[in-house]
Amino acid sequence: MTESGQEAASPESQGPAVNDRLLEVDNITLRFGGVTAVNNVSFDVAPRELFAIIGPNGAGKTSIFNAISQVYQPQEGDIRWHGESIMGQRPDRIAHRGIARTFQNIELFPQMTVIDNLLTGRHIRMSKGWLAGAAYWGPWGARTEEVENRRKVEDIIDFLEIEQWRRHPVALLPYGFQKRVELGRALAMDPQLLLLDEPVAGMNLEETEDMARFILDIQSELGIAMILVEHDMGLVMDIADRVLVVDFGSPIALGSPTEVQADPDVIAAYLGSEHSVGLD
Amino acid sequence: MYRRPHMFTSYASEAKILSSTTQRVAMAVGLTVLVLMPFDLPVINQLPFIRFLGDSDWLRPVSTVLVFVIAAIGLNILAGVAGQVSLGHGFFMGVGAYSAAFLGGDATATVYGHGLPIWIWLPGAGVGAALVGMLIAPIAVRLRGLYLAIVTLGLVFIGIHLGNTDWGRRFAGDPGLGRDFPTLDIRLWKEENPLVSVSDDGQWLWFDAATNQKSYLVLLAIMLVMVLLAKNIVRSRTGRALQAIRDRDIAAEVMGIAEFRYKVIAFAISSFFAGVGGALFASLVGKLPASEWDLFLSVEFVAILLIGGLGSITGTIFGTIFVVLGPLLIEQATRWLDRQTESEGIFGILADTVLTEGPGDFGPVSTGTQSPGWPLNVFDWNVALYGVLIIVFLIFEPLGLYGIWLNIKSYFQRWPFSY
Repeated sequence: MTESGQEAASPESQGPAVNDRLLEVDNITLRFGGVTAVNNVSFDVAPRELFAIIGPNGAGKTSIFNAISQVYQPQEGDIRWHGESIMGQRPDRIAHRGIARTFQNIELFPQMTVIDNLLTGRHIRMSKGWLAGAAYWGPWGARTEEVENRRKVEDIIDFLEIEQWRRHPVALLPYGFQKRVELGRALAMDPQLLLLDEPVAGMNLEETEDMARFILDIQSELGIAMILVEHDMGLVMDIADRVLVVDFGSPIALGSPTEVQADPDVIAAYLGSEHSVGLD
Repeated sequence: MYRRPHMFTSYASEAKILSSTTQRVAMAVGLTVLVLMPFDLPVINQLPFIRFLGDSDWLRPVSTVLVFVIAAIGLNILAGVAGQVSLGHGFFMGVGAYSAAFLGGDATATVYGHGLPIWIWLPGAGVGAALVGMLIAPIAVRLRGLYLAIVTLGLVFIGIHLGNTDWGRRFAGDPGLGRDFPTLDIRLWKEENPLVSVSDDGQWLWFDAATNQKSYLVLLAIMLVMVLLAKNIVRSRTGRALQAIRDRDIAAEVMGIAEFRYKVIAFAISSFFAGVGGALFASLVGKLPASEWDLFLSVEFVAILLIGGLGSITGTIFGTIFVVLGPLLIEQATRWLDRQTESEGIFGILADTVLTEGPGDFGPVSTGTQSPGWPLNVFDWNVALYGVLIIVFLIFEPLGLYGIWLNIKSYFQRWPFSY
């Protein structure tokens, strides 16, 4: 997976070093007034990597997501996508670059059907504007593109096994399936990086196992890198390649699941005793 | 051929507006009736609804329905699909009407007018209103819900005020009487004999067509085109983006939908429809003062949406028919009942119970014109019913007439199962 050969090919290049990192989060700090939600967090994600962020409630995990998708602007630090800073860009531009996400509390479009939700995910991969939409038929009309993307949406429906809910407004779906549709909507964007905010929160064992299967399939079959925020430790330790632990907005450990589990600071954070803050 | 209602064999057929044979047949029959309605044909003139409205009076209100459908669809795209509540729809209609008058009207000593043909002034009315709408759109990015409604409400008052200024009078004419609006005559350029003249009676193929019959058909054609355009916008990429912004604006942005851009598009499309509707309405009425584009007009469109069904094009058509023709039907029914008072049998009893013709009667509907006071006359009843209906629909059927229609439809689709 490493593509460091390119780096070696042009050692004297003046520009930023070409590297194999998809996303680099470099010392970001996010404050809301006096509250420091994210404090000096750094990590990076490689292509096809399944990266997990864990931490107690209020640790700043979702804020890190919001900083990556630029819903919030970190006051300090830098976020680089393919080596290029994405700081200060609007959330919709971030989506165009190939970063998709799901939300902790389902943020589907409740009055639209499953198909329409997934088609909305295709928005950035479609190009016809409102004039082509109004014309619809003919060489400039939107019809061909609509049908083509409808077919792609069907692949996702097939992948996530939600065939029976296709035409239902998502508000009527059971919770577990809504979570699945939200994952599907993010997948419809054809992303290179998927931010999953608690994909199995509130799910029973069976639904959790289904979701874990889908996440692993996305990694192996579709080759999409993922950042996973999750409280289900069993799931995280089973499927994640690397884990970042945050507490009170600060990183306390970063490493493979086994390394992190053995870290005294992590144990302390979860059991609630004194611990040092910050990676040193 | 009997088909399962949701079984499609291709994605293209799934995306069709009329996906089933039943729908296509119903649409064909409906269109035929609509086209033949103004003419005195042997079978059509026996249809109960048309006869009930009276012989020639009805063409006018039905034409008004066609025009209002266009404007109401505009508001529905903005408020129903994109979720931006606007009370300023009357203002945008007015902007459209005066753009049309500026381009297509006849110049006099007091008002502007360039006498251009309908090809210019009708799209011009839409574009003029759309440009103004795009100026208003940035406000919607800052404000939402109630606050946006109040800002757009302000537009209505600004509009009427502007129409009364010296500058505004060059467009709007005298504040009391208004100005003449262009007629629907279809001509190539400023030629003397229009291709289609709706301003005088004449021969159309083998029909003797009167002015109002011709303008009805022209309006019907324009309405059908506008409905189709709206339907296409709503079912394609832009429509989904607008709905996404309505339902969850942050999520929509994270999905790559530029909120600002799409709110501007929503206002532009909505105002375009309002402008075209306003221009046609003005043309239909012929002469209107600027004060006609007031809050009541805007509220009437909000009522159409609430009664018809927010976010649905089909519902908008139901709603417009209901709101424009409803009062007329009640009026006609009262008149008809009035004629039955002297007769024997059930209608006579009904008329005696409902109507009050003199001091001794106790019916709730007065046949007089005295207003206000109990019993209410039929016009007051209409106003009261209007308010009551909005309340009833909001509480019991938020999806409006369209929701009722969906319920009936799905009942039969699922029969004999209950869900």
